[in-house]
Amino acid sequence: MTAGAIRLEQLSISHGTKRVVHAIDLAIQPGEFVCLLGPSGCGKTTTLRAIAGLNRVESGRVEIDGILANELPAHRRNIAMVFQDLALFPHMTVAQNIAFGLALRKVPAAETRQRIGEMLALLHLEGLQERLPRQLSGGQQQRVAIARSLVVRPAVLLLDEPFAALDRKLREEMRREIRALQRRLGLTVVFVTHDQEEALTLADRVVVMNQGVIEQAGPPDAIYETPASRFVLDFVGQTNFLAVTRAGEGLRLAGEPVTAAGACLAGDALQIALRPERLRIAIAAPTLANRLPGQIDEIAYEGALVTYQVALQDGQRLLLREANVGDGERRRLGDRVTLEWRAEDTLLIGEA
Amino acid sequence: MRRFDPIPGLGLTPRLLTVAACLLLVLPHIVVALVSVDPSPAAHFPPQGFSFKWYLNAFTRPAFREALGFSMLVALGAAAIALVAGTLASWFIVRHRFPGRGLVVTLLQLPMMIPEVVLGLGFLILFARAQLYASVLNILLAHAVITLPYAVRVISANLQTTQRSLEEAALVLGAGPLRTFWKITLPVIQPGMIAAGVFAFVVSFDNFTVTAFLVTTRGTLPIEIYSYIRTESDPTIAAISTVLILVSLTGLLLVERLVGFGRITQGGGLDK
Repeated sequence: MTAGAIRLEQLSISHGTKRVVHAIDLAIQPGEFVCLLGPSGCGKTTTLRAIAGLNRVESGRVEIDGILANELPAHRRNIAMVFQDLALFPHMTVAQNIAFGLALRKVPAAETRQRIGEMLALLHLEGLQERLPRQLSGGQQQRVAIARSLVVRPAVLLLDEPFAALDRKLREEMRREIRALQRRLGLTVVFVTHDQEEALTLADRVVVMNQGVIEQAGPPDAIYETPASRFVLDFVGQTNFLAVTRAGEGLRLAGEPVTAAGACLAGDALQIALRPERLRIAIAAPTLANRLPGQIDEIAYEGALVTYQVALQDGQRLLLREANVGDGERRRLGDRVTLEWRAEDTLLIGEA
Repeated sequence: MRRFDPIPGLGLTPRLLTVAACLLLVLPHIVVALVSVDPSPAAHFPPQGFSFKWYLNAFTRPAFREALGFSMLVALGAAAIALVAGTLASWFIVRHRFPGRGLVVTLLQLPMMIPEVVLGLGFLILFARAQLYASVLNILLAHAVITLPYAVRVISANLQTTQRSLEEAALVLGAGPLRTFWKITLPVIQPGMIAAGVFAFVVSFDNFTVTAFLVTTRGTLPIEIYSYIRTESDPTIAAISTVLILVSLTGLLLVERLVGFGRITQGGGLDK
């Protein structure tokens, strides 16, 4: 069996008297890249720290490679972790930081030097080995933290929002690198983030958490296309929620009939949910199942994309996003338009 | 060009008050330094001449020389005890949550709050009861207690501002708790420990009140200074004081240079 399997069974964790993780079940395969996604306070970091052995398990099981690890102290788990604040040892050079875990494993000096060299090459840190962490840029510090974790050749790498402090370009670069490293080394990665775009881009499987429970776990496209709950739909991506009324068998939005053939989710009020990019502005005769008149009352020009806010006749507003392909005419504020979208892209939120 | 003043209407007043407060703090020291070079035994201010003879007198009197050695010994010993105990205590109260923690935090600060006369009397009764009559040991123990709150304050402030994740990272990398403490925690709080050591040394070196209760045969420097001044009024004491001021100043500058007060005091006091 390849190493790196993690299994959480009915895992519950409390901070003091407050329970932050409620009986969650999750099985992670060796070599899988899993993102724990959720708003702050949803229990994702707590779960990660329980896998690392930094949080006490209240009830349930944490299994690593089939062995119960609830009481196994952090320093005996052979799991690596990159912390949100990186936690580079400020009094040690880059090389000493990387060597820390090797010295504890009694790796001989020659091999230590060789493995540090490998890590420096792997993470593009050549020539920086004698620097102190504070003499490095944010991106370099990031790489040192990853090198320090990977040099001990763990089967599991845990990352706690490691790229949150980086600017956008660097963040995207680091994402590509961590993904490439994970594939190359066959690592099991558990990555905590509150950034849904990051989770969708990186993960084999996204685990959406909210208030200490798992709302949905699945591949990124399943999370986005077939959300299991209103929370997932709302948290992952952007969504228009529009109040509708029942009229006999059918539904009406702003007085017009609409058909919903997408999933039905539980909610507090009768609504339909539409993703902005699944809406379009009809140019010729409308061809899709649903159509509705509206008026553009705000335009956000984003370069590659243009987002329009459209007011419906009953005063409800929705967002519509188009790729800026450059062939159509540019819409202007106040333009009257006809929106259209497919019945399959219309999700129904019911009181039941 | 005039600098923009974001709080108008105060003008020069705050600056003048600051200067006045600083002068008030520094003035006594300057007076002492000036008196110490007055050649007459009457200790005139302002001095009516210039002489180093009181310095010579201070350093050649055996009583002062012995007292200085004794003070150094006690201050070094007390600082060492306070440093070790203070580091361990700080680590426990900052990094752990346990029942009665608030009480421990208060107790650790108590010697700083209680009037020294009360402390001195307490020690005197305690040591007499325990039939401990060794003056050196008694004074050393008492000074260790007096200096401990200072060490705890400085070190725990330092510990509070260091990321807990450093220790966690070491654990996850495979270091046991003890090794983590040695290899990570101690080196990281080293600035705080240096400062704590200097503070503890100075507090012990300066102490008069508690020491006065416990002195039997040999006295510390402040005690000797006091007994000298009761019979003599020449500027010898001013000379010693000037040397002490210079030594303290050097110590403080050293701490500032090595560590920086900002790094020690940021994060402030202890939360309970």
